[in-house]
Amino acid sequence: MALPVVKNYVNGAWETSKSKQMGDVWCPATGEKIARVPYSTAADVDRAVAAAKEAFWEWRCTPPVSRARYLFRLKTAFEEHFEDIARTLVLEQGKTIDESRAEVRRMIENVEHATGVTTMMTGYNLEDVAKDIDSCAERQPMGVFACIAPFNFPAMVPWWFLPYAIVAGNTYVVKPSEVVPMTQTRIFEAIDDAGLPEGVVNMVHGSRDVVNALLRHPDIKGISFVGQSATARYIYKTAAEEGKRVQALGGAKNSVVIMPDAKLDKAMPSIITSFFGCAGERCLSGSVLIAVGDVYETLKKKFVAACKAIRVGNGLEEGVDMGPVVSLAHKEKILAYIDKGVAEGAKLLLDGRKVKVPGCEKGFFIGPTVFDRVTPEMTIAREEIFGPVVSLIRAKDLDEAIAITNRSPYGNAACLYTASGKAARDFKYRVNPSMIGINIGIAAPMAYFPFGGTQGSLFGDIKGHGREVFQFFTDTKVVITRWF
Amino acid sequence: MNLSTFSAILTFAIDTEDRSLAFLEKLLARKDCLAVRPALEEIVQVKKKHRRTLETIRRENITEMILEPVRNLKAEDFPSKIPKKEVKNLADGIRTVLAAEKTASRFLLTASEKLKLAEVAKALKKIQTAKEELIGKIKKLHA
Repeated sequence: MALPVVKNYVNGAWETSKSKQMGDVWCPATGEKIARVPYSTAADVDRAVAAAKEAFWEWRCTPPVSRARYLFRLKTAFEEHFEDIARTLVLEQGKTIDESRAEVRRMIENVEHATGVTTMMTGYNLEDVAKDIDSCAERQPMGVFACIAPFNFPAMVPWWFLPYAIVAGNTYVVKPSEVVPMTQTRIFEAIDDAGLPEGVVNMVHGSRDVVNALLRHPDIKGISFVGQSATARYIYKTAAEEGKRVQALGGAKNSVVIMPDAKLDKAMPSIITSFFGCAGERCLSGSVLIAVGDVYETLKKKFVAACKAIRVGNGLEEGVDMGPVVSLAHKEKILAYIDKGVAEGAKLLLDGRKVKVPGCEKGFFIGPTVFDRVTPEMTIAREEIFGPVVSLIRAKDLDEAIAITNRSPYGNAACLYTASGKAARDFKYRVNPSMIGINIGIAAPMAYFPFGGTQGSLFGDIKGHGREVFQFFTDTKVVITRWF
Repeated sequence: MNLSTFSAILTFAIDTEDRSLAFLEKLLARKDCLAVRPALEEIVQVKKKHRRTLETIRRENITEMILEPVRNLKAEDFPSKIPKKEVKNLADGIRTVLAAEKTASRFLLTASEKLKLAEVAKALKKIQTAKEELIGKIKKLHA
């Protein structure tokens, strides 16, 4: 039986790309091909951008409150299709059904938050900036924006940007990851039902050619990107060179620091989720576990015991704690890191390489993997692995733990487990990363706070969602007025 | 089966409702239930409301903060009381519904204690309290 081919969505209609180049979409749990994705061309991108540009002026002139009403319709459509979207996500991405539902919920929360446009998009004014002269600053939409999305959160990430962009009066083009194109396609089916004006949102599937066409397109005003740091740097550089606005969120190497006074038994489920939630494929995942002082032995024992209790399996089964990683290529990359850790002298306390999942023998599974005796110089302690691999490092005190955390060229997230307010304050005050968890393992800002790191984890100035994102999607026009 | 995740717990509660609702629908189709039909229909309506609430909790209350694993909650400890075969008479049917509701109530109480999110725990406890009222009504039918 022929596999389904995902379609582009341009000007309110489904389109088949004319591209001859196609990629396969896999189910990571079974290791089977489930669909095909077109590697669309620059001509496909042109059509989508032209449709968005054409739709812009009418949409821009629609009152913000009316644009917000469209978002309420989208919310209703997404609630209605909630379970379908979540299951599609598990099917092609591999994460557990719980994680998928949480992701779709986060996506909807961004739609909900963006409906506050009438408060968040307002400007300001001042009378008498000079004699009889008044001045005001207005926020105006700019035109067509685009998002280049990653494989790890295919439902949520485009919606860190899209609802804010369109509610502010812009129009939009989404390029989903070619590894996981089905989820956003399912979401666009719901959008199609919700009756948004044609051309306001568009979607083009594809790979590098689509990315480059978006980056170079003269009618695109700004790009939002989430993915690896090397790509984020390229996106930032290229789009900025073209005079576009850019927010490019990159990778991470997050430390989770455990103080001797941490309430370990209470904290353990949260610590485990930090490292193994979404099979470690998220930019907020813990990667380096730093044991401070004499907590080391107790932590090691309890952590490994908790890791052994993790149920690895097909994410569609309720009760599975960890699903497979997204692709065979990604699995091989993670396995190479584990081999490197062994070769560089770290000690494997728990080896997830040989994990077996009955009924899913061809799936891309890796079990929880824990390295002990890791030093900060080792590759596994420095580079982003993006998988269920933990490097346990010992630090003599909080100062050393902070120093280890700050050695990373990344700056996404860091977490501290402690019962001390003083230690918590020191930590959040001194560490470089900009998403901080205190007794929280995944420091994920909600829709109404900004999401993004610093240093090598963010290229650009304005982060995803939160209030600030309206600055990214609007130009501040200052009007100075005098009447005779 | 270990009910170690938020969704696993909620899905188990929803499935439990679905099974007993299906059983009640069959009971309502029996010719000998005429006298108790209004009462049974009322029970069905209440249970449908419970099901909708559970589904809403599963959809709306899931956040990354509560994706932490739950331990020591097993489906085997709350076995289904619904028989696969049709019951012989109405009295057996009502007895079955009663037993199923008691198990469901016990499950909701246990789950509300396991799930850390106060909002969810409160909602489950509310359904459980309503179930206890239902149990009282079913007991009267049984008598």
